[in-house]
Amino acid sequence: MLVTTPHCPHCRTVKAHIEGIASSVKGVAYREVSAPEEPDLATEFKIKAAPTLLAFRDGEEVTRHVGAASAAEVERVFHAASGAITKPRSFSISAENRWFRSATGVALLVAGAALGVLWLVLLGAVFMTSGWYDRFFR
Amino acid sequence: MNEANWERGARLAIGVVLLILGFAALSGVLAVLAIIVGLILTVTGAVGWCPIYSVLKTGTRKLTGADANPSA
Repeated sequence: MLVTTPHCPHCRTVKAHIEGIASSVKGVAYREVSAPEEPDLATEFKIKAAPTLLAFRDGEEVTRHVGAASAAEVERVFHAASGAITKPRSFSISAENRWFRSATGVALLVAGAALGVLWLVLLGAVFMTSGWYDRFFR
Repeated sequence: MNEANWERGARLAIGVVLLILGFAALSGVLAVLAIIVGLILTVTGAVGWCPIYSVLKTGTRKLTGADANPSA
């Protein structure tokens, strides 16, 4: 299920990815929900941002992806719904979070190094790691 | 997350400036305050979540607001 809003640029991107993937993943029913038109559903599934792509299997949510998604991330959600992935990766970082965490990491690394403050450098390293850890544990 | 992207950016920018001021330009209580506030702003900006907003059940990030700033 894809939850969208009318003026959401990332929603269009995710929908385009879904159109390319949906037909190749068998046994998955796909539905698009407009959050403003169906606010009860958005509330029920605790939707905080659009787009949110949720995968259900046997009536239970098995994974979700919030925010902009690559074709690979959309495919992963579809495969989770189809059962091809029995233990879906439960973490995935949206593009905006990756950008913000990386920017914070770089800023703290540079500031810490310039000022000679070790814990700022370490904090920067933590934020850099938090922005990219999902790439290392696929 | 309960912060809009513009707010996250502002928190990051102000937070890092306060940290630099706290370590490089200020001294005494002002320096400590600048470092603490800078650290809070930096961390909340990076994660996009403010505990005070959470307690007050408010925030600058709305469904449509989140979409208004394409960052990817």
